[in-house]
Amino acid sequence: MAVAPLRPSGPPDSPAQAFFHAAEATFERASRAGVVSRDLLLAGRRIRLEFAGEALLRPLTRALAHLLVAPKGEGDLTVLLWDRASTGVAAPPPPWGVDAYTVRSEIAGYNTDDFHTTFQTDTQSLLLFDGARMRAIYWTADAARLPTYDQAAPLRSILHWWSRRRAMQMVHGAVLAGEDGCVLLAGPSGAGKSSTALACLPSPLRFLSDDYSLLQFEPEPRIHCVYSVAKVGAADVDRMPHLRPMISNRWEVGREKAVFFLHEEAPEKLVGSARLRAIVLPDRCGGRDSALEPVSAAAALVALGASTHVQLPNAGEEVLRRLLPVVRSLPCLRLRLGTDVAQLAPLLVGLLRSLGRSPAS
Amino acid sequence: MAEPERFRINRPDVIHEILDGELVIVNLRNGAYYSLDPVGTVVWQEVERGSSEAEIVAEMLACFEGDAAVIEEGARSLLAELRREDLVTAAEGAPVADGRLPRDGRTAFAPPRLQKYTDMQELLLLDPIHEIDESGWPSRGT
Repeated sequence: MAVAPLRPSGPPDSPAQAFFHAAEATFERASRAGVVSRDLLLAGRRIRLEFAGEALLRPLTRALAHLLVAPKGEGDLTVLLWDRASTGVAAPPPPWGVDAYTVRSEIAGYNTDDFHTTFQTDTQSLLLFDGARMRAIYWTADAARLPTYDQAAPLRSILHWWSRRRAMQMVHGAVLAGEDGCVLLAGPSGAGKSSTALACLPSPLRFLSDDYSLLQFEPEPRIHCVYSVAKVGAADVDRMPHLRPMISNRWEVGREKAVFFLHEEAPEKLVGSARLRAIVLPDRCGGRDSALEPVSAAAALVALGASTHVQLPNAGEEVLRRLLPVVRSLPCLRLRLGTDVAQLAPLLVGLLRSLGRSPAS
Repeated sequence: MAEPERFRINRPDVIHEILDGELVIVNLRNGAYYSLDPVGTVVWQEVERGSSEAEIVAEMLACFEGDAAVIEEGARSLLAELRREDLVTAAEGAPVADGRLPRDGRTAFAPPRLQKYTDMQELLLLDPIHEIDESGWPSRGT
């Protein structure tokens, strides 16, 4: 297997750089039994995943299966992945202390312009990124213990770090597409983003995202589907019986959200990307009827920025700066959510029709 | 006589942008986003100039029509809230910036509203560090 030089020449390593190189060398040991490669094609760019063994293959690629392509050439980004339980190889011991673990999973003192270092305590996973060489590392304690919610949005920090260097931005929101483009539903957890997206599944609208997606800025705002997954709470499943046959994790619904792998259950409903036409803020207002009303660009920026910022490590000022021209250039609306979910799709289809005729692709 | 207390925006942790007269403020330290209406934006711009509380109140009275006591209370309350949220802090010896933008006459006053918007639910789900395993990594515990 060809690997990049472990110690490029130049000034002394920063702590983050030295730790990355140590982890890269550890992957060599973990993968002695063989490397399994998979390529993803996302926004026209190839991402190479190199697994040490097969334990992480399904947990980390099930939600990305719609992006898999035959391996070819070099990846724009290469990710090395392994777990301790199946390989017997742990990540190098952390050189930092317990106080270095911060609330957004960033390791204090180990994040620079080029390097990112995070550890997610809930999933026991270490994610490293070298922006200069476009290489990343994913390590977790036990592939068999990755929670369903993490399998539904795998590698999102790595994809976030990669995309920000490619004039794109991972954004937190649900996305629905029609023939005329797509709408991005933004807002905090519980606002109604996912339930709106899934309520529209039986309609002519197609699904791009219910959680994280990739926003490309040029030549026009465009959303790319990253995860072919949707998640809603048990109460929403009760209100939308068409979802029940598609639930992938029946045994835990109630204490966890119901998870739907749409690539497997409803591939005809997925769309790879679409031109972004509007930003819509769902708002559970009570009552039966739903309606759209204008909202300020500031409100849309705040809604989209706040959840994107909080949920992605090392997201900083650039989130605001990058989203600003997008919200300025697009219509921003509030969706007053009523209980009659059948009204939602016609409202959004009508909105997309009124905003243009550029085809979704 | 002591110099009046002046204020400054808590840079570099706090950044802001104006969209159609409405202010968006971000505290990069905790990811909290805020929106501030056009009335409150005047207070923010005065903070940015390095004005004292008395100067901020005077500018508000010059900009808006209404009961002077209500306008003064609105300005002082917002300033206190901005300080509580750590968006604004006391400035030491900061000079007052020159000039202000020309006003389009006085407009009706409405108490300014700072709306906070944060999505902390996901973060609250994160486990604290319970224990470290033999390899040095945090473990889930039992």
